[in-house]
Amino acid sequence: MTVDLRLRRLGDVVVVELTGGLDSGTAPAVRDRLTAVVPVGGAVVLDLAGLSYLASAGLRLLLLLHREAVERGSRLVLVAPPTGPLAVLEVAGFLTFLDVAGSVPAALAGLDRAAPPTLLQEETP
Amino acid sequence: MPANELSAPYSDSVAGYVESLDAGLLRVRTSDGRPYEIRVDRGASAEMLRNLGEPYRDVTDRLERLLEPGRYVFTYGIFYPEAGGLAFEAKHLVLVGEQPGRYRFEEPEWWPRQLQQLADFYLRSQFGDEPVDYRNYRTALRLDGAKTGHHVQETDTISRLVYGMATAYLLGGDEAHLAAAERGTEYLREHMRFVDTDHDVVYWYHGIDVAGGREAKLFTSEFDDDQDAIPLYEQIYALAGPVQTYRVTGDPAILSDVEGTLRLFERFFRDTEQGGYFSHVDPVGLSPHAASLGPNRSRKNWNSVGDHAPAYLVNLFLATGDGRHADMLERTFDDIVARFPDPRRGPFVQERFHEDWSADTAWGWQQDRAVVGHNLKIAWNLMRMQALRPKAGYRTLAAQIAHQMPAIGNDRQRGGWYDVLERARRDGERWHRFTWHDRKAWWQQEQAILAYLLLSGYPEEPEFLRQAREAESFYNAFFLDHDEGGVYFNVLANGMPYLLGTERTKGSHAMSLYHKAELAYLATVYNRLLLFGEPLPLWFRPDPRGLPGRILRVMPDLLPPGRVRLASVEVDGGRWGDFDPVAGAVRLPDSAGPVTVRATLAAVRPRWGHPR
Repeated sequence: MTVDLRLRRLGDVVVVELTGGLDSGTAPAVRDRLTAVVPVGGAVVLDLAGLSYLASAGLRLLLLLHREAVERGSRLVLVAPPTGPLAVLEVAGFLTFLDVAGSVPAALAGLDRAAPPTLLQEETP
Repeated sequence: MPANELSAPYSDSVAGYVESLDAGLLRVRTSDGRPYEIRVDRGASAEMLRNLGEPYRDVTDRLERLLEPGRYVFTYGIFYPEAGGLAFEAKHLVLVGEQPGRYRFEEPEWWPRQLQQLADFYLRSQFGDEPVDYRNYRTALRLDGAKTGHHVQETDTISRLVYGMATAYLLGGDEAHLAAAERGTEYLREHMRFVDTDHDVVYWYHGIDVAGGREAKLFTSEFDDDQDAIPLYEQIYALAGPVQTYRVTGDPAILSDVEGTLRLFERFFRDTEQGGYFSHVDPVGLSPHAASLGPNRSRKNWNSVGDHAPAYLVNLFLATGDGRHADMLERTFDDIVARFPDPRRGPFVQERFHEDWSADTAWGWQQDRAVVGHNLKIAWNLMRMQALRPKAGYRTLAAQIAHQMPAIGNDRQRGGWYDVLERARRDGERWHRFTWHDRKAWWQQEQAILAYLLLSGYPEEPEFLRQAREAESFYNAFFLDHDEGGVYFNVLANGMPYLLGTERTKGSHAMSLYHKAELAYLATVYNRLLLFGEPLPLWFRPDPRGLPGRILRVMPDLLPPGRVRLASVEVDGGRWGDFDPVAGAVRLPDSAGPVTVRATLAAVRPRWGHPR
């Protein structure tokens, strides 16, 4: 299983476009990559529209990202998880505390800030 | 004047056995045989040991008559350095029984009553007068049992409370305690459990944060020692409460969760090549070798290897009789016997290891230090294992620890057992140095009491009963909080409660109702069945349909073969005759729902057997 990450920084918001599957083979590397970019006081918007499979290791990764975000005064917002992974998230009880938005613009608009952030920088994995 | 000369009066305590009382001068001899002369006629008050729920019993007026030779007594007073020596004048005395050789905590109902009081304290503190609802549960409790603004519900702490409630039901049969145990077990399953379908294992969240009405899962440990990792210790203690509840109810859903967690242990924590269990795995890959684990990478320790037995595994075996669990117990104790003793470096066991079992003397707070209670806990549990699958190595190591510990871990002047000591002494040092303080923690007293009680049940070890009684005396004299309820975390060396910081609280992950319930339960079991020959009724509430063959196993602990038999059984209040008295197994009726079982165990050849 493979996974591809595309990161954009919008001020103190990091938008991550994830494509592929999250399992025990891919999750450790994704963890290393994403926990390093969780901003202080901003948000990580994790676009899961391209997520093909969410295994337990992926769930654990999301918990760690959430914890990292809380510790840094930041937020984790999931965007458009497909039906299968969404059901997994719901069964696991994650939807009671993880924010989910329908699209990246909706996620950005939902962040509690005066004006939407503007694109400053783009990174490739 | 030379430096450090003792030249000012100071207060302290002396515990010992009365030798004589003459014109207000009490002569006692300490546990290690040192004489003290104590004036008791200059403003001294005296009390009789009392249990939780009992009023203060002043015996000052009877003091002269009570201080008979042979009696064990605690004296607290002032030392005056004068006339080339130390004069000691007592201000308060605690007596532990009405006559020499009589100890109040050996009254048959002492420990069961204490456990009922403790369970009721935690019921009141956590749930008030409302029906038990774990949404209202909070980990942190103040000294008086009141909750704080802390909104985390820790899995381990709930599990420990559940353990205590299930144990209180076993011993007392109060339905309120059973309800608290069952609802707590269900709450753990619904809110703290993670079923990993990829690997067919179960693991348990560190806890949940319920601030603001949202339930956020806390996956990795929030404790400094275990940050960003899944410590096996937490997974082990997550099972303590459910397994004890399973003993009572036989609920197959509990067993299913336990089996899933055991698969987690075997698949991800066990070192199948070099033996033992790793202490931590990383939270994403579940590997014990991940670099992210830092100082916890590829490590083993007392908790990960040895804590299975007391926390859940002995109880799981008692409930199921499953040989797989006996095998796992045997493996862990074989590892302890083979790896933990380190006589070249001193009398204390080694507690932390690298993957290859070489000593890790640089880890965190432990460095090259000994936890006295861990040594005693090993001695106690080796003797339990000795009852299941006897081996010379178990008995030898247990006896060795039990013989060595009093001189180095016990306070032979004041009574009680110390906390953490430096394992090695420097040249010229007589005493193993205290790492942080000379306070005494409640759970370490428990280990001493249970180790020496169990050891004293064996004929060759008459001295151990004295150690057990002294430890029971100290615990009951100084740890019971008669004002607010519950048990103190720590006391100073002289027995005064230490009530600062986290050691002031009653509900931390360690303080919740585990150790003190385990102590009350097993002190009852050992005292009644091994030592003094009194019957022990235990309560169960199983649904026969959930038990294989409708067999309920009621043995109270791993006890020496042939020393205990199941004497009688009642089912829903009526006598029931279908049981195996030797195996302690009851074949229950084919009932359509849960039944209440009262199983009475009887001693065979009690060690001491004196009337109380």
